[in-house]
Amino acid sequence: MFWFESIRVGLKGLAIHKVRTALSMTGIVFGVASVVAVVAVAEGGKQEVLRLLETLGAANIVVEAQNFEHDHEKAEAVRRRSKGLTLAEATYLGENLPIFVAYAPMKHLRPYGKPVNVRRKEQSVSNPAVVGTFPSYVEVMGFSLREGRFLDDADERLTRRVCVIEEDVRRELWPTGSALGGQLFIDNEPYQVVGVLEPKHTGEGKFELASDPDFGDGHEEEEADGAKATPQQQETKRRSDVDKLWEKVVDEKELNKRIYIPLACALSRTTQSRTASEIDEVIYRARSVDDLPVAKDLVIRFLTAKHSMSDFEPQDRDFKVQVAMDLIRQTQENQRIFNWVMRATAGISLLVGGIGIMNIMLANVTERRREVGIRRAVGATEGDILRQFIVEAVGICLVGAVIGIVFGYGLSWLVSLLAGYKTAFALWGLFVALIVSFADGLAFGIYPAYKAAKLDPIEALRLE
Amino acid sequence: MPDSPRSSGNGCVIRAREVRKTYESGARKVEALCGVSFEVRAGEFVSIMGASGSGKSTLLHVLGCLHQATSGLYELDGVRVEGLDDVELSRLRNSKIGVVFQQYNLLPNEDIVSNVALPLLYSGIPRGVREARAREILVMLGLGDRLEHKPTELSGGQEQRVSIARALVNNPAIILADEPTGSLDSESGLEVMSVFQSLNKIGKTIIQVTHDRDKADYSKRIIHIRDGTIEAEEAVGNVRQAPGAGVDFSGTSWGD
Repeated sequence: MFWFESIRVGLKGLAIHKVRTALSMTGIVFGVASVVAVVAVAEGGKQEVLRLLETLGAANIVVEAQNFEHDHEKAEAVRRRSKGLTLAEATYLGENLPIFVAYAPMKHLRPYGKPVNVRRKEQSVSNPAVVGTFPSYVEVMGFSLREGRFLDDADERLTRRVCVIEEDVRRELWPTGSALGGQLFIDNEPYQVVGVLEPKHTGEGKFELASDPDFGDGHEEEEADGAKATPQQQETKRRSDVDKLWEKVVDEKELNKRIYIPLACALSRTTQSRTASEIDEVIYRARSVDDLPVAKDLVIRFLTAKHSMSDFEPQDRDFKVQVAMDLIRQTQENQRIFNWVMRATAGISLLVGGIGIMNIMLANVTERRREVGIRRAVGATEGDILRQFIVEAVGICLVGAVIGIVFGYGLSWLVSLLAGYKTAFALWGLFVALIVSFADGLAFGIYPAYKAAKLDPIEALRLE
Repeated sequence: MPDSPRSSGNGCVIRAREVRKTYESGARKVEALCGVSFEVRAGEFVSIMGASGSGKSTLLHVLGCLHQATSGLYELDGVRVEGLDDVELSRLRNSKIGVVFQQYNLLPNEDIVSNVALPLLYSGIPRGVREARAREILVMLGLGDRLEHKPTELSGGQEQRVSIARALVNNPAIILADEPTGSLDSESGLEVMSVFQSLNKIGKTIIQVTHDRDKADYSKRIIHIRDGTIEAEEAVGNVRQAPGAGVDFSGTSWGD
């Protein structure tokens, strides 16, 4: 008998026992659903890493100043040795190390650690971030402009009051029409908008707190109030905790709400706190990813010597050097652990599903001895019977798989909704689910089918 | 459909020599057949008679290639059966034998056309062809108005006719019937005998197992079995004729 006929006979068998078929399917349904969900979450994570890579730049080194704002002792100890990260140091490294192709120093406008006020007429931006930087910033970060231009050398040299804004800022201040040539006020100083950046892909959801600028306005307001109240609190510990949370929120919001001004403007007008370093951050772009370990080492050695901090532990120094690749590796490691947990879950559900199939198929064979006897008597070979029962087992699994796939996408959607994990549709996940369930049916259907095939036709036909 | 061209030279469809069958149940050996020898020629209608436990069912299972003899020689339509593997035995069952059971043994979830066509499924014949052939035979056996029915919707006599149709669909060399009237009332039983006699008239070889002398008298020869050996063979002197006109199988197209 041909496979085609086997499939027809097998599927007919399934159609006859609808309830049993449905029940025996449930294990597979949930097994496949979890496989699909794993893949969707894993795929989401992968895309997230790629996006992060895109945003941070794979070959970038980020040097951050550490100010120890809330630990006065540490701040004092550090300040006795060095005055923090300076523009001179940043420029020196950027200009003299041939390993770097570009660099951009950055100064965050945050007078006394408080958020800056940005407004146009009566409309102000919630949680904006103002950053002073070099024209090379767009090149280093790989950003592109939606309209207008980025800051240029003349802006920097002449300390022009111009700015480039991000999409969310434009949406809040110029809900309709173009922002180009418009004027906004940064802490009451007028700046002219010369460009609007293309919205970035940010790592929203997965690695930071969930955010949606349109969604969480009321929420932000609340947190802003909380933060304003904070400085009045005198308990350092509590203050630092709240501030940490605040910084996290601010950093998150900053991603799409930045306003870039020439570094010269930022430096000339910043009201510095006594312990703050001159600049907050420098991003260096290395020639290639392979140069990163050497470059990172050079930067650390240079700054350690310059700041006289060779006897300080890395976490106590007033600078921190990070490589995008390191961050990505870390997230990949987290992702890997998560994937294994999910894979184990999926494996166990498929095992349980398979055992369920085997159980039902064994009952099926016992119950249908007579049918086997009849088929054997009129000329079915052992192979024909084997095929028929295997097709039934595999058929149950495949139908279960299709239902499971639907469930699985529902599940991954739920995961992304509740846990904030990014999920993504992956065609290969679909194939994996189908192949795995096919194999499941085969593996767990073979023994019952073999039992059926080996039934003695006479015994099978004998009345119970 | 006279003499089958597949018959061996002397016209024997079945040749059994010293056929033995031993069952092992635990440590005990049970000899169900202890050296049975007989022949059946093409076109015969033979009854095998014996009390229960005499070995007549075992003999039928061996003849039907459902079990292999433990020793001895069995030739079915010119094919030596001993030593064949499962695939070859299945092919023999499929092509040379039609079986009719006391309990009909129809698939309860399939309609009667699919039931009758079942042997052809395992011969690898396309669905359309096998169902057409099944319909033709069912119509001939007077079940033309029941084609879409499931076996459970039929009377016992009708069910047995479906099972006879299934036994015929492959145009087998022999028809083996195991107590074909055992579950039927006397009227339906006579109907079955009438069908068998009609089939025999067109040259079909039929072997029925029965314990009922009355039904054995519809055949032409009786083999008496007792304790696993042939006790006696007799030719039926005055063959009983089933009432009615029987079934007209002339002009059949099956099994060309």
